[in-house]
Amino acid sequence: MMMLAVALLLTMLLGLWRVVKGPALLDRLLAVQLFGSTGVALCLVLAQALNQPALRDVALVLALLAAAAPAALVQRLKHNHALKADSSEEQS
Amino acid sequence: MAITRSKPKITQLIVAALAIALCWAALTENRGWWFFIPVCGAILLWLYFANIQVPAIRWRALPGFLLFFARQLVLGAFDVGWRALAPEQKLAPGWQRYPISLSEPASQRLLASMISLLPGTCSAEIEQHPPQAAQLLLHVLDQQADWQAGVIALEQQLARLLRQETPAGTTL
Amino acid sequence: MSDIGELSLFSFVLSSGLLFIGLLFFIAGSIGMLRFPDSFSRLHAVTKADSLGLGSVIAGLMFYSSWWQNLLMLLIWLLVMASGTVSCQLLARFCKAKQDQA
Repeated sequence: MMMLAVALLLTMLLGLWRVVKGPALLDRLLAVQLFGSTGVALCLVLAQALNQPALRDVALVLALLAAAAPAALVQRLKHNHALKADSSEEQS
Repeated sequence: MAITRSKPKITQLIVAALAIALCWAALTENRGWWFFIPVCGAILLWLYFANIQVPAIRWRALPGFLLFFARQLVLGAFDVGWRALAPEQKLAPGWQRYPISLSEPASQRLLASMISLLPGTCSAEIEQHPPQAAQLLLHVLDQQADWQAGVIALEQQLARLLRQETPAGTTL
Repeated sequence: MSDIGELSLFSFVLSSGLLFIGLLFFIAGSIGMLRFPDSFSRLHAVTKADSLGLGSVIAGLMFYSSWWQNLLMLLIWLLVMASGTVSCQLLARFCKAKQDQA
């Protein structure tokens, strides 16, 4: 069980390398998806391995956050984008 | 199509109560049922008086739909996993458009999000051009592969499952 | 709750197999994220492979715990699947719009 948790953590790190390196913005945003699924799996496995039922609730919260985060991020980035476009128009 | 929403039927309320009971059991470790009954009753009353419809589905089509969806899910994950691990990469990613034949916006959105779990496709946007049918902007992993078949099959399954849609042909 | 000792050999092997398959899907998703040529394909990899991988891991864990815990895990899986597809769609739409603009 612990081996599985460690392996999951390693795959998450492998994915994070792309997030750090990624050339495009979308590669960076993939972190949301990565944490949403791998992080939840990690929490559930640890809940069983360490016999800590509370970690299941942590997984539930993580899943809920992963549902809300992309919508918030996209709205925020759109807003920033629009602001930037406005300010560049004013300057020119 | 129904703009004035009607009261939910008694069967729908029973289904909703069952779903709430399952969620309660999962979230509270199967305890505190004495508190559940007033909460459930309040939610059901709210559903009834606020005219909130539980999505109407054809129950007979549900097992077939779940089976189909599970198969597509496994196939999709195997497909993408195989492409990732195979020594030489056969990828021809690109954007494609697909005309939707479902009529309700809600079911169009459901289709768009379910397509993301199908083999080799991922939806980006629903383009509405009012005179024509709505179009779905898709990203496909391999343009040579037969991605249309899966999307058409999913669309038919959805049309059979949802009560607001009429199944196109009586084939199958 | 329960230990490996309480499981029969058959269910232990089955659950280990399911956990291992889930791990393989997670690894495939991560490797796909590293190897695929463009960012939208990477989105495919991480959405599909990881949601099935999570399903497999949960199926493997279901042998160990009681029914309401299994129900909670199933609920989490459904939630992750739904949020994965919706966020995949949102991210793809946003980045496509940005790409078109640039």
